[in-house]
Amino acid sequence: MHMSDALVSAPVALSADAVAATLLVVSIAKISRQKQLSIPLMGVLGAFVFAAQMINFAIPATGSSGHVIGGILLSSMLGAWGGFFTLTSVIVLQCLLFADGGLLALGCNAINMAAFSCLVAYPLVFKPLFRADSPFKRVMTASVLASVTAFTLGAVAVTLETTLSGISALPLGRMLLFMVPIHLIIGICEGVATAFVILFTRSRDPELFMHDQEQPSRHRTIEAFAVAALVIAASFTLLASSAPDGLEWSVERTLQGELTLPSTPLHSSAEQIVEQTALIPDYNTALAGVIGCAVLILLAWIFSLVIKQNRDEPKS
Amino acid sequence: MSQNLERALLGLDRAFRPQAKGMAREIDPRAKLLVALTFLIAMLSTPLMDLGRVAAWGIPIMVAAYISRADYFSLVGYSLLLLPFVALIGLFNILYEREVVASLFGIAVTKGWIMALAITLRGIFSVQTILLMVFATGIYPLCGAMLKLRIPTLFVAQTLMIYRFLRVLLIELQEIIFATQARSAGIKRYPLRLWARIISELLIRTIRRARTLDMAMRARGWQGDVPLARQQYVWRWRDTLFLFAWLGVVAVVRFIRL
Repeated sequence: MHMSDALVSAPVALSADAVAATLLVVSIAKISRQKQLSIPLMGVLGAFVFAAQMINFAIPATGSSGHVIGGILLSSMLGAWGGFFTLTSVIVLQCLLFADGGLLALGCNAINMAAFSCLVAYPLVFKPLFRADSPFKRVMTASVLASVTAFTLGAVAVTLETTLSGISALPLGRMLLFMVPIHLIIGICEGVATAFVILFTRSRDPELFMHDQEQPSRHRTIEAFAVAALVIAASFTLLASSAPDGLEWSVERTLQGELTLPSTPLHSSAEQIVEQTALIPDYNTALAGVIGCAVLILLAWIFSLVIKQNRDEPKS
Repeated sequence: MSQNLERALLGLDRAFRPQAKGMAREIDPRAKLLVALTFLIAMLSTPLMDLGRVAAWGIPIMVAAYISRADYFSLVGYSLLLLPFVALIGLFNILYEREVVASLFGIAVTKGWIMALAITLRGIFSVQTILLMVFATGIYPLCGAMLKLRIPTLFVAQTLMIYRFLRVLLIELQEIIFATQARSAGIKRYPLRLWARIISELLIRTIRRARTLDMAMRARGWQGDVPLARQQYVWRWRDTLFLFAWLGVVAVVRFIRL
């Protein structure tokens, strides 16, 4: 996911640098206030992530390979800002040592890899689901959902940065279609790998994951699933087939052609109503997935509130 | 895998101190960092369709490689290794931009081809710029320059700490990989679970080392300062001359049509 300087224009790169620098200053301020965090521990964990990123693992059934980013892993041990700070310095060093990722594109890379994994996916998805004593399934769920969220957001950001820079002639939608599925697979692999590493490390040194542990409330868990559901809904709809669904396919086969509506007044007025009331007429988009998910989450929340209110009311 | 690790170790050793010889080595690291950044900004702001001008950025890089006595062909080789993703994006342009803009020996040249070439050249040149800057300066002096340019000390200390432990860790990782390979009867692809175990083992060793180091540093009364901060960099006339000469070169390539 390292972006080269060649893929960004100067204004986009400098804007991203400014955003990343601001986040870095905030992270330094936050870290300085945390007494228990040690620079050597962050340094050595950073070196570990640097080394771990050199291990490429094969992605099943794709013939390609990926490597861990390590944002969720770092954050689980150092906290969100500690993880962001450490991962950003890893990215800087990778740029200087191997020219992996551009010098001007450092800001883009810090946002795409460090900010999305440590400052978005970790606090919103991983942290509410994970506890130091969570069982295997919960650790796995938290890691996979958080990693998929981080990778998907990163892939979308890479696409937007490249498109805004005017580098690629590929339309935004098609580039997303190309980028997101690959990163979804890498995200799942990273999530599984992160979960195994956390489980193995926790079995040997449980204290590492004890920092800022708080009892995850039910609300935080629901929020985590909601964020992950939104991201996954947006990304998986890109994988949706453009071929007709089962019913359309069978109707087409039966009628030897596309089903046409009869031109009765009832049909045409019904069609008009549907057209006027449809939120997204062209529903086969990532936006439809996000809106559908958001509406469902909202309805579920309202429904639960109503049930809670009814339950809490004293029975007369 | 082993090749990657060896490449990394070699890169670490080389990047430690400046490798350039002569004048390029003596110039203040701040001047070199500023020149590299200006060069990259100017190059990336060159329109993709201005292929001649994009290609012209290769000339100052060749001159810089000559001055610092770097092996230009190994620079080219290394920069090609990092190109696949950039080239892929360029390839899409060939498919999508089919407008014919020129004709070369009777062969129609489309806008997509020019954009793809320009993107590839930008990729090669930007990698070469970073490599040359590190070749001429070295990581430690570069971190010193970052401190003098008011980059927060904590960030520089952290970057140096990572750099310091990388070598130790890579050797540890090499040992673990070697031991795994010795037990795996020639199998080269390991399942994800095994990779997770390898990484975890490395992490456990790493943390033990970090804790020992942390205690030792606290016992010594370390306050988070970096020895580099105490190093005196003296800005001389030749540094000013170097900076303005290169800024002039950048301005000529960017703005003047030769």
